[in-house]
This record gives sequence, structure tokens and C-alpha cells, in this order.
Amino acid sequence: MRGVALWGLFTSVAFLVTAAAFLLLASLGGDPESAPIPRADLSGTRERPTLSLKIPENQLERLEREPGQRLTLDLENGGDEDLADVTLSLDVASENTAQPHVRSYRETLEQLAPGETTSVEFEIDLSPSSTAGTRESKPGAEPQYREILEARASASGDASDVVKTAVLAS
Amino acid sequence: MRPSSPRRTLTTLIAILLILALTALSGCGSVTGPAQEGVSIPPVSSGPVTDLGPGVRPLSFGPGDKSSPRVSPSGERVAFVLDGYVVDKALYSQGFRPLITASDFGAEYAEWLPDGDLAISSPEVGTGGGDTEGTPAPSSLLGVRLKGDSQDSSSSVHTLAENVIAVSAAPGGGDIAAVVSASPDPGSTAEATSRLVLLQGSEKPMKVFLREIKGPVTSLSVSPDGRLAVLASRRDTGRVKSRFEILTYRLSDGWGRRVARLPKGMEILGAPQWTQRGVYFVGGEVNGTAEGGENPTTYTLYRIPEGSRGPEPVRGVGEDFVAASISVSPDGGRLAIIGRRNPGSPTNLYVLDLASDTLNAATTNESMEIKTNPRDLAWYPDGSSVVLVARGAFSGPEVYDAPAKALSAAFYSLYEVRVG
Repeated sequence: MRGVALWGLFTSVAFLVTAAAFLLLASLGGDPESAPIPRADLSGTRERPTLSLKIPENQLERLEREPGQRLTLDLENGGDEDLADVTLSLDVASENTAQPHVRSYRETLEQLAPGETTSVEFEIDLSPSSTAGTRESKPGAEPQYREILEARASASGDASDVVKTAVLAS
Repeated sequence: MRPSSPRRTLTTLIAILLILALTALSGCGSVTGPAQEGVSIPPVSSGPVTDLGPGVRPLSFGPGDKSSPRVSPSGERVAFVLDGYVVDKALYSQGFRPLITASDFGAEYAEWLPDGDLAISSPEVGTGGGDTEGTPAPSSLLGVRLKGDSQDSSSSVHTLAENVIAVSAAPGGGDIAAVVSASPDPGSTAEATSRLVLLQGSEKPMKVFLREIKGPVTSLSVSPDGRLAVLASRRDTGRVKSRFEILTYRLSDGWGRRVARLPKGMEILGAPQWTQRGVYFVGGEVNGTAEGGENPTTYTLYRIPEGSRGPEPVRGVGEDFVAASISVSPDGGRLAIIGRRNPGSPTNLYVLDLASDTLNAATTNESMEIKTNPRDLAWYPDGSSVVLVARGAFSGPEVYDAPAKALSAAFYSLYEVRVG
């Protein structure tokens, strides 16, 4: 009797362990293309990011689609520890994905003290690329493509990047 | 110490088994949790709030001018034109794959073939932009065979038809009808003629109907049951203004008839739609302007009841309703309409129940720009939802707290609107 009971116990434990292993494997798998559309951003439950980034909107209104445009981005260390190797990158691209021409700019700060705010100025080229307006010139083509500025800040030891995107007027 | 009895041992074992079973059941829930969440996808809050109202969710993200959405007959994928090339994606995933990668390809639309492949328009070199009265320029129709999860299937592209003027499939999917120009000489002064063809698959022979269609065909649609092609044709009357005709062709044998000849000065916007209660179309009076050109005033929804020879305004939408584009549902009983309640109100998606002639707003738009091109409106094959293209109204530079590829309302994006 005891032998039968022990056999039943071991069989059940083996079944449960195997099932758990399969479930774990299933949860690890997944096709990148089938990544679901993300859930609503529950920003209220997030911790405040240590590094914050700001693109002043009043500066954006003054930008023209020419070379030599100056744009200042503001960085702030909102945490209570020093941030080292703070990297700020700025990508300028056309809204037209058929002409994926990106102009990239990058600046690095060695250190940003707790509570410190600093401004980083970029001189950027906003002139239309030689191929960007191909479709616009067609009669009847309605898209007026805009420029997109994507700024990204990160620091060593701080796993989360801060990203801001600005869409300029066409 | 007292030795344990067999009954006590058995009771202990049963208790252990119950505890293990309960632990396993509760543990399984945590392992597979995310998969459950993937079933129901709520609206995304990246970027500005989608001001189209409840029951609306984005289907695409990131920069680019998107247009001409088409949901596959299986209801699992959606194809659309992105900046002149064509992409397809799983309906509720973010990632997509470009099917034609050449920049400046110039595609205007894509339609699903019955075998799951895609038919894509490609402009023909030297054809220009059509005439000034709204006749589309001829294009080539390319077949793209989709290879599972291939990232670039351009190698499997082949030509299905040339000199194509208009293309359409039934709202729920099926064979694709196309109108092909039959005029051999582009410089000829003779009246334009064309023929109807039927595409049943990318590798099946094309069915050509020999009967000629006189006059430039401006638009085409297929009835929900896939039996009829409905065409709008502009006939030159030899006077100042030409007149539009609405024709139907039976796709089984090519038998055709003229449904109606529209009054002088009335033009058709988009393709007429065959429904259970007659043919519906968006029409407008074209008036001369001071510059000598022609400028339509307002467009109204009209219906040609079965047996009638002339159009009548659809009363169910209201007297002041301004229609822009329409699309009949896969069951033929409803009409999706992009329009405005009156000239001063915002553009919204409405659904007209044809049996009761009642109009219901499917969106409550406040600040979105909804595209009004007739091709930018599509039904899900099961009739549960409609896809439209919109973006947030843009009044100046704006800053968003997300990468560009995660934004929806900042750019023209596809939106699903529940209407079922």
C-alpha cells in the first residue's frame, strides 16, 4: 500500500515539474514581429527618472530648414547621486520613410551632479536633403513631409534612456 | 513514538498531493500572464491622446504617410501604402515588413488576392497624372507572393496586368476586378475604351471580358457578394460638360447594364457602392469659378434604388450632411461614411444602417485630421470594424515623450474603429 502511494506521489511531482518546464519555455519564446502593440503607459506607477531631458518648444518655432540652426537641449539630474558619462544624441530625419536620411549629432558630459541642470547646444543642419522632396514635386501629391528631431539621453549606470521627439512644421 | 498507521500515511499523501496541485495551478498563472494580456489590446497612450473617441485603437506607429489600408481576407494581417511603398503586418503587432523596398516606388494602393498574395499598383513610366477631370493614370498591377516571415519578398514580384485604370476587391475579400485601358494610341482623339478583367490569384490566368466599356472609367468597386462590378464612367457628350454613368457588370459572364446616367454637372467622388438597397455614391454639383476652372461645392450621398434610373439624396444622413468617402460592409447591409454632419462640424466616421436608414457616429473626433480619400477606408472581413487613416491636427512644432517609432497620432496612422 505504501509503495503504491509513494509511486503516485513521485509520478505527480514529475508531472508537475515537466509541466512547469514547458510553461517556462513557452513564456520565453516569441516572434519579434508578433510583439503585441504595447499596453497603455501607466506613467503614474513609474518611478521618476533620474535623468530628464527637455526640448524647449519656443526654440523649435524659430528653426528654419537651413544649415546652421542652433538648438539647445536641457538636461537635469533629478536623482541624489552623480551621473557619469552622460551622452546626449540628436537625430534629425525626414518624416518621409522612403528617404531614410538621418543626420546625427552627439555630445558627452563627464559628470552631472545631483540636482544640476545643464544646457547643451547643437548646431544642426535642417536643409532638405537632395532626395527628400522627390514625391512632393509630383502634381497632386499631398504629403508635405516634416522634419523629426529625436533626442536621447543616457548615463553610465543608469539603465533607462530618456527619449524626446519633436516634430517640426513642414 | 507511535508507528504510523497505513490510513494515516494515505491521508498525509493525499494532503501533499492537494497542496502540490494548488501550488501548480496558481504558479501557472504567473508564467503565462503576459500571453493572456496580449488578447485584448487597449489604446496606446504614447504621444497625444487619440481624439477619435472610445473603441478606437491605432494599428500602426511611426513616421510616414500611410494610406490605402486593406485587411486580409483571413482578418489576420493588414497591408497599406507607406510613403509610396507597400508594407504588410500582423494586425495587432507593431512590426511590419516592406514588400517593395525601392524608394520612391510610387504605389497608390494594394489589394489582397484570394490566395493570400498582394496586388500592388505601380505607376507606368511616362503616363503622367491622368487627365484633369479625375480619370486615374494607367498603372501596372504587380503580384507580390508573400513568403511566410520573409523580410523582403521583392524577388517574387511579377506583373499581373498593365494599363490598369482602376482596381477593387469585394469588401470581405475575393477576386480582384480591374479595368484595363483598351485604347491603343495614347494620342488618339477617339473616345477612350477599356475592358474589365478578373484576377483570381497571382498565379492563375486572368479572366478578360471582351465587352468594351466606352468613356473613361473613373472608379470601380465590387459588390459584397463578389458577383457584380460597379463602375463610374464619364461620357463625353460633345458639349461643355460630360456626364457620368454608373454601370454594373456581372462577373460570371460579363453581362453589363447602365444603372443610371447622372444629371449634367454632377460628378462622382470615389467608387459607387452596390448594396442590398441599390447603388450608393457620393456626388456633387460642379460649378464654374471666377478663374474659369471647376470647383465642386459640396458632396452629398445619393442612392439609386433598384429599378430607378436616377439618383435621390439619402435622407437618413440629414440634409446638411457632407459626404467624402463611402464603403459598403462585407454583408452589404451597412455603409461606412467619412463625412461631416454639416459643413462646419468635424469630420467623423459614420455607419449608415441601410435597412432602417439610420446614421450612427462611430467616432467622436475633436482634433484629428481624418483622410477623406475613398481608398483610405476599409472594412474588416467580418464587418466588426472599419480601418481609417488619421493624425493629430498639427498647428506647430510639438514634443512627445516617446521615440518617433512609437508615436501614432503624430503621424498619419491606421486606426481600427469598432462598429460591429
